[in-house]
Amino acid sequence: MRELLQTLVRLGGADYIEVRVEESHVTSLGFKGRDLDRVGKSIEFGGNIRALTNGGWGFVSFNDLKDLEAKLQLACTQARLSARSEGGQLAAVPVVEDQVALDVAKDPRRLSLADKMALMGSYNDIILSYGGPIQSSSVYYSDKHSRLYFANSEGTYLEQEKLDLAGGATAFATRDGNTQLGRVGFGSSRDFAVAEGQEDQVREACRQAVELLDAPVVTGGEYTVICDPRLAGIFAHEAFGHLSEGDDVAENPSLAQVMTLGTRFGQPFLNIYDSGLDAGARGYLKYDDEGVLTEKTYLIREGVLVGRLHNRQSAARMGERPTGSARALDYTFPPICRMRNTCIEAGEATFENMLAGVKLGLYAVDSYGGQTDGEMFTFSAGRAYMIRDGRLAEPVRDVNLTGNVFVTLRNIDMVGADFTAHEGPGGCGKWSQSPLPTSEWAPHIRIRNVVVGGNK
Amino acid sequence: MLEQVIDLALRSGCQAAEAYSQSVNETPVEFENNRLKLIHSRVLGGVALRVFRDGKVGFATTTRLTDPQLLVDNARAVAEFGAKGGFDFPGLAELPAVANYDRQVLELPVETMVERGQAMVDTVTAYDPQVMTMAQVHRGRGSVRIVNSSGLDIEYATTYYGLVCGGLLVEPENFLSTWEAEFSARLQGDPVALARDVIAKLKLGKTNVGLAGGKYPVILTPTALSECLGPLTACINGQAVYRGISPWRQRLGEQVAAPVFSVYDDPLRPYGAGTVPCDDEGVPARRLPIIERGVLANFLYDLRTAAAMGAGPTGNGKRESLSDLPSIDVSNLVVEGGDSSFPAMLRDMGQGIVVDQLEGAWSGNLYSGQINGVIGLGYKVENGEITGRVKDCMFSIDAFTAFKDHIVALSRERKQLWDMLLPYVLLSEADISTSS
Repeated sequence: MRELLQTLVRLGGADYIEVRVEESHVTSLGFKGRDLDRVGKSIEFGGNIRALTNGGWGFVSFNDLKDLEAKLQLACTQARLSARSEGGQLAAVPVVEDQVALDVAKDPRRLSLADKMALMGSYNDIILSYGGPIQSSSVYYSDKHSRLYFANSEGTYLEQEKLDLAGGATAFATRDGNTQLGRVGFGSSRDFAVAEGQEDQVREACRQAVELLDAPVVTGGEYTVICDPRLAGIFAHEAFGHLSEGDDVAENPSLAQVMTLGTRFGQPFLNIYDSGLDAGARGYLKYDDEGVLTEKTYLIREGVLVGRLHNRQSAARMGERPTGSARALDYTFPPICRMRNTCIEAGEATFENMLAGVKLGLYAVDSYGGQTDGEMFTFSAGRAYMIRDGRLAEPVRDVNLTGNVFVTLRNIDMVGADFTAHEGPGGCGKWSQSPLPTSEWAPHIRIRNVVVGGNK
Repeated sequence: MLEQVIDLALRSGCQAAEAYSQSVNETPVEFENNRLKLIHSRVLGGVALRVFRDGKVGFATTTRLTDPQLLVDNARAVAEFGAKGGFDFPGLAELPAVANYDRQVLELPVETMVERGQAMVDTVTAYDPQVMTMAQVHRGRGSVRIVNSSGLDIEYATTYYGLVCGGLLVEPENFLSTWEAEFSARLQGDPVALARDVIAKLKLGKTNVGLAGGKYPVILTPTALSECLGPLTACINGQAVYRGISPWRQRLGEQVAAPVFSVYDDPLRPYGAGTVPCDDEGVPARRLPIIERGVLANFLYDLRTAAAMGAGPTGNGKRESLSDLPSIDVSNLVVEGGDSSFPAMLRDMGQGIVVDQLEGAWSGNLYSGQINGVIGLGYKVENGEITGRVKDCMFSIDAFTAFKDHIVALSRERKQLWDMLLPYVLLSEADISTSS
């Protein structure tokens, strides 16, 4: 492979050329209710060539490695066609040659399909035998083992092995046309053990689904909200992570002005970073998809904007350093600026401190996901409880939070000491590249004046 | 190759087999932030194999077309642990003729695609050079072949052409982001007209106006309506019915929506983005009423769920991607229009809100019917006229109640959004939450 790829990128025809080949083996299985829904094995084999000329990119993706020279020529022709008159260099990075082997704890490839089926089946059985209004279940698991080969015209050559696994279980409680859910989820880039020992959490998901049947829809309005670590992580990702993606900032002068380094965004106890270095996290990566070593990148330090997530082109345009944030969903897409593991650093508050003094508020736990348009973000809580006079009170359902990122970051008035490294099964979407494995770690946080949707 | 795969599967002890191949040849041209950024050529293909072995289903896929034996071995190995089959692969049937192929799409030179993208960028930039414009021009050809051991052998090709144009205006703590898109199986759509639609929205959104939280009459644009249909499509899914989690599971033949509300799945709609002669299991496509004059008419089934429910397949077995087993989905979701129009709705509403872009409305528990989304782009209406943009507001409805009890009118004019065809809807009330 090395010979093939390095020979190809040396043929020239553009300012910069890179080629990538990927072979992934995916095992997936799922139960829905009493039935096994699916079990399958997929082989995803393919590659791409990306060429840059005067800032314009050509990109060709394929499954078939025949006629690579013709594909290179097509990429170079497209790059020339999209070339612009000015700019478009890549920031200089060290030329590297490396082989990255997997560092696995419990390797899912060493387990038989029967073992994985039995484990997930046991979670399904817990849900279906829970009784009461628990009507159905959904349990799924998948693991993906990839070999990536990357060469560029600067001489970098990488071979990397990667692992990503994710799964979860959902309990469905139904009564009188009302269906409510309780969920657990897990993920890892190095250890099948995260899938094991979920029995208590699965039972807890059943209890939560049943509890929600009697919960009223939250009354819409403005609340002080305490977010649990999972939801706080999604908040950091949706509200601020996307805004920190350098490709948008670099090309949009007004946005660059709003995102001027040194601008204050939060109070001095707010620290947000994005890191590729956390082994085991689904957002872990040694090199990004441009062959750049990843790092821990502070975005907000002591409340002040200090960095952003760059690929080589956005870094060059802004005169900043590449951060190893160029990621592609797979060989069918070019790498773009993405998050890895987005974290809110631990603060000093305890949960009791946060509750104290909240006359009417919400404690929002876990998340179904969220979305942002840059400035306004929204995310849904998995479940939520009212806070009344400083104490947790009754559960409420269908809690969606929204806010303006700038206002909301300023309104974070407490950051907890209980930093939690939870890995969920979900993924991130940007420009039709979804779901990309990312991680979001955080402690509890408290936010003032959050708008919550719901009945009046 | 498919015959070879079927043959290998049957010879290795499988009782039945189905091979599905898909190939795509497409060229998106992408402008970002006012500039041509990327020309992409995708030539991708792969094969999915489903087998029955001792009554159990095995499934494997590959994009490595040089190794059919490995594909068969994987499917066969998985079948040992597979789900119970309980259905047969369909035999050869006559397929409806559909209009989903336009040679002109494929003859469009890349240079012309670049010109059309540039035309969108230039149009928006001429209105306001501060606006960062994104534009995409897509053209592609897809082909599908399905062969099974019951004698089915189907092959068809589709084309598609699409224009996307969006604008982002950034001021300190005030972002305005909007887009328009048009997708079809044929070469249609005027890039400059699409860009003008974006400009119209940028103009309407230029001035922010305050809004107090409360109940308001609301006009959902087709774009907003598309974000509110999640509970409906979740509840008509035959598998949710089979599993007992669809709140509508016992309501076939009952009034679940207002009498003016009719919804169809129409895979035969000429040049729709989801127009196909058959589903991904080879079941002939047909126009299926889902809700007719408010009455729940049909649930959607794939082969497996239909067999489990003792119902007939409805032609809704769809593969989300090559590596996914068929599951239930619509082809072209069509909501019938009414006798009103957007301007008439504005007049009739008097005071209220127009909701156009909703963010995050898809998240949450769809079976609860509750839709909550932040209004990415929406306008306040006073005395029948749009007075400005509302911001930082959450829109909430219970979709079950809203489509049953709160529909005042539907528009004649409808808009094609990807594989959907949708009107404007005037609702008598929706909950709006804002900061105080």
